[in-house]
Amino acid sequence: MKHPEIPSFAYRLFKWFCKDALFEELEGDLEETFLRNKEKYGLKKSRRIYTMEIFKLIRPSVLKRKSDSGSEYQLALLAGYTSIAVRNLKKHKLFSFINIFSLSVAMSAGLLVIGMINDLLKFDEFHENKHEIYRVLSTPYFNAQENKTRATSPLSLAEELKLAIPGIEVTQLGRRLNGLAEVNEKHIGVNGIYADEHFFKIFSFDLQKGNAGSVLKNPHSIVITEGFAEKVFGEINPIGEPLAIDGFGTFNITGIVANPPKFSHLQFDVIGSLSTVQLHVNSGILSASHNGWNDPALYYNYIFIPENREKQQVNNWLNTSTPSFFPKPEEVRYSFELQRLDKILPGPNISDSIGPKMIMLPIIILSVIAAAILFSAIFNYTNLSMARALKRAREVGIRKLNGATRKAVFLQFIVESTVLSVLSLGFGIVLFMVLKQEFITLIPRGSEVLNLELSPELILWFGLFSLITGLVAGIAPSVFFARLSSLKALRSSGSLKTLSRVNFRKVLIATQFALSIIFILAIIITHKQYRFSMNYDLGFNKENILNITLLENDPSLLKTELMKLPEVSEVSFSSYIPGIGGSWNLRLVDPRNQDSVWVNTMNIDHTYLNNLTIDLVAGRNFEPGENDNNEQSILVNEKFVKNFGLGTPQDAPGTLFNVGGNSVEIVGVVKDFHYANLEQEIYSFVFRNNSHYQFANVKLATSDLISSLEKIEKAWYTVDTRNEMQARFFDDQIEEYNSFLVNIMKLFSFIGFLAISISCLGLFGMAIYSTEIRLKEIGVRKTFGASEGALIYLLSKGFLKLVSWGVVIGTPVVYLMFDRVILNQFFYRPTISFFDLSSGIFLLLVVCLLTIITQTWSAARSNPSSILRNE
Amino acid sequence: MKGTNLGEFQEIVMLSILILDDKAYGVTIQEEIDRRMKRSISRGALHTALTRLEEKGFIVSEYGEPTAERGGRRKRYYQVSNKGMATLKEAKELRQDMWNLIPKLA
Repeated sequence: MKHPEIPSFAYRLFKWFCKDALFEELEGDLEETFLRNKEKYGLKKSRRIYTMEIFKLIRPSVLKRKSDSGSEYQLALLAGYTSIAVRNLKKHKLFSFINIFSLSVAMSAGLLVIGMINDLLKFDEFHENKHEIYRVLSTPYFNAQENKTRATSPLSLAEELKLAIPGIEVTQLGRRLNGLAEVNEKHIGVNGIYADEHFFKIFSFDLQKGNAGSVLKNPHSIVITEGFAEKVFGEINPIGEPLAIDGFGTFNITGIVANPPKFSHLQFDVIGSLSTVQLHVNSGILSASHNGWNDPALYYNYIFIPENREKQQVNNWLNTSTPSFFPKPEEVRYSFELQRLDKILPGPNISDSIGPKMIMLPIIILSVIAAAILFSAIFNYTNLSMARALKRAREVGIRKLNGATRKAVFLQFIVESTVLSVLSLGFGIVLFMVLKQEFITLIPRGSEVLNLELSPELILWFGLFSLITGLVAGIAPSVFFARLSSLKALRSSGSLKTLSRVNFRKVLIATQFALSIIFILAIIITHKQYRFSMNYDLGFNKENILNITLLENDPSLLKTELMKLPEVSEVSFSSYIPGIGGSWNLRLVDPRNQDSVWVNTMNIDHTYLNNLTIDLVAGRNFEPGENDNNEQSILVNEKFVKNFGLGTPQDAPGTLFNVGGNSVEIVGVVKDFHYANLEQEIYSFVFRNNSHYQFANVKLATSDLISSLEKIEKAWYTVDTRNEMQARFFDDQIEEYNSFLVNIMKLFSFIGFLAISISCLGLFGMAIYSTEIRLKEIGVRKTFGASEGALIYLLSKGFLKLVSWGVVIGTPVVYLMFDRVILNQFFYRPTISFFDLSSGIFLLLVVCLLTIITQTWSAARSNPSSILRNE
Repeated sequence: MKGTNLGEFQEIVMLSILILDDKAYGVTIQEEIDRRMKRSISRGALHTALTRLEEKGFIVSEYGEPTAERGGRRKRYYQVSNKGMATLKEAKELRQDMWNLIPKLA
């Protein structure tokens, strides 16, 4: 035996790995050294030296060889365990069903998340230089106030950078080459980007026809994708053909590129040459300030940096040299940073992205939820296996008497759980296939970034996942049975202390129900926010209004045509649609102190207020044509009056401000309304009347919307012969804007359903086994006159207590989560009431009670004579 | 000559065994090396060297009687074999020859 002062962990480890033939000598030597060291250095240090010595002994010449028996023997053993496992699963059908069902539904959630992560990790992997390409990000500071980081950066940045660091390679991209392409009388929508001639050198897009260095060099050159070429030109060779894009002029096709891979953050049908942009400025399509340092909203710089040293150099330059390029840094300036290509997607939430994006937060949330669900199912397995210990104990006892080692018993139970989890994987994959489309639509912008294709690689991951699940699920029961001594196992079953793990099991069940209540309440609260958002008075009328995108048509011409229809009662114009999240900014200068302030704005015509029934609090509305030649009047909201300290709304009219060089007068004050959304607080807001409109708001007088829509469409084509009418009903738009809440609700419902069914199945299983164990007790109680009601109460109260614990733990968690975090995203939100919480709790308790009663009821009604007959 | 090569550490282990004469077992060898070389070696490193030497046939070992001082476990005593002795001498002579050839010291 070992000396008592020797660290027992190290000793046991050593005994485990050391060859038996060497053990006596080495252990003796080590102990002797240990005792000498103790004399020399004291106990603590000698123990430490001993442990270190043990670790240093882990070397091939000391390690035990694998078991003497060959691998064939091992395989046969494994096969034997597998067939025992299958037999056991068949024998206990209910147990197997509960476990396979709960594991496979839980796995399907896990599989969806694995599939999603697998897809996202593939993004931009195809670029050869993926670790050496960096995108320049910019963070704007307006009046020294930090704004959201953007993916765009100024066009002039590359020129300056190339001057500062000679030989550095940069490719520049531009966005929004979007419009209708016209080829051979066919109109086809096109989504494109601009890029300069270095594009194909730095990125690994597959240019199939054309010279990589020159296809994007000349103005009005364009490279089209294979798919687009096929769609538009069919069999004809498109090289050299003209391609007219509405609003951008005619391009000359110089090359064909393979369709961009699905997993690329750059997506396009066509790539126009960036040199075209300057010509667009000349022809007025783009404003002259497009390449200034102050407004880098359209362009992207991608820098190729092969070495670390240069990255430091570029970073230094971005940090120290760029501030001098801004004409008025105290008003507007940007700070720049580098983002590596493979960190773009999934990556941080950056605005003005050029293509699809995906932030980390939903991925993390979904992973955590999936893991929670999976653990819930694993708890079930663990719980039910331990509960069945009574029945399995005899089997284990006999095995052990026949010479089975702990290891053998452990392996047997691990194999059993693994077989179960592999079976569940089969059903899990079926569920995965059924659910994946729905899942993709639930994820914000999911269809752009996911396809969840069942590739061999993914199946491999799934297999690994199910093996791990099996191991984790099996570990607790396996250890339990492996440790069971044969004597205890074979003694009369009553004395077996299966319930020694009772606390562990209780905690597991309570945790499951805590999860269930969290999801139930999450559904209820999200639904409440959705109803709140839909019914909230936004401060304007959205009923019976059709919003038509104007495109380039003359507003007054369209209005004349539309007003001819009897169904149309009024037509107004505006620059954007309120209530669906967007807002425009405007810089106002207060002439009293020359302060410039950013406010929210919108352009409207004089009929708009009436059309949307936005109330005037003071002053007057715009008069027709009053701002046509020279902008001289604006309307403001009540918040504006308050924020600028103009006194009461009645005092405000007459105050002067400067807008874009013009002096304008406040002529009226409107009631506050929600021009953006419920997430943002209402801020100072200005209505302008400068005839830059994008939408016509058509008020319909009838409720027959379908037929009036047809007539309106006819009227549209009398004005615009080229473009299709793009029209949406206002209330539909608002509903669609809030549909993300519906998606969240669907997600919670799906997950909540999983969580509840898994926990209830677990509860059901536990109820079966525990009533079985107590059957004799019930018989005795009944002969002594216990009533059925009392027995049901007796059997159920333990479980209800556990469920209640779950509720007690889960409710505050969900309340805090929603009250403090999630609903805090909304400035205007409902409060979570006691009633909301209690209705969810009540629902859960009823479901649980029903589950338990199915078992306790029949047990309580059983005839005591048939139970006790065998005694 | 492959297989009879003697590493520096192995040579030191064999010399220690010779010095210790009939008291050479794990702990004493380890201490001898610690003392002479002023460097602490792990039992694991020593074990590897002893195994190699025994494989090559340079040393032989046998178990002693159980003693109380180490919980009744037997010690394993090592001795240098004739073959080992010959190899050691050969190594020494080779060195001596080379030393003799250095002109400055001559």
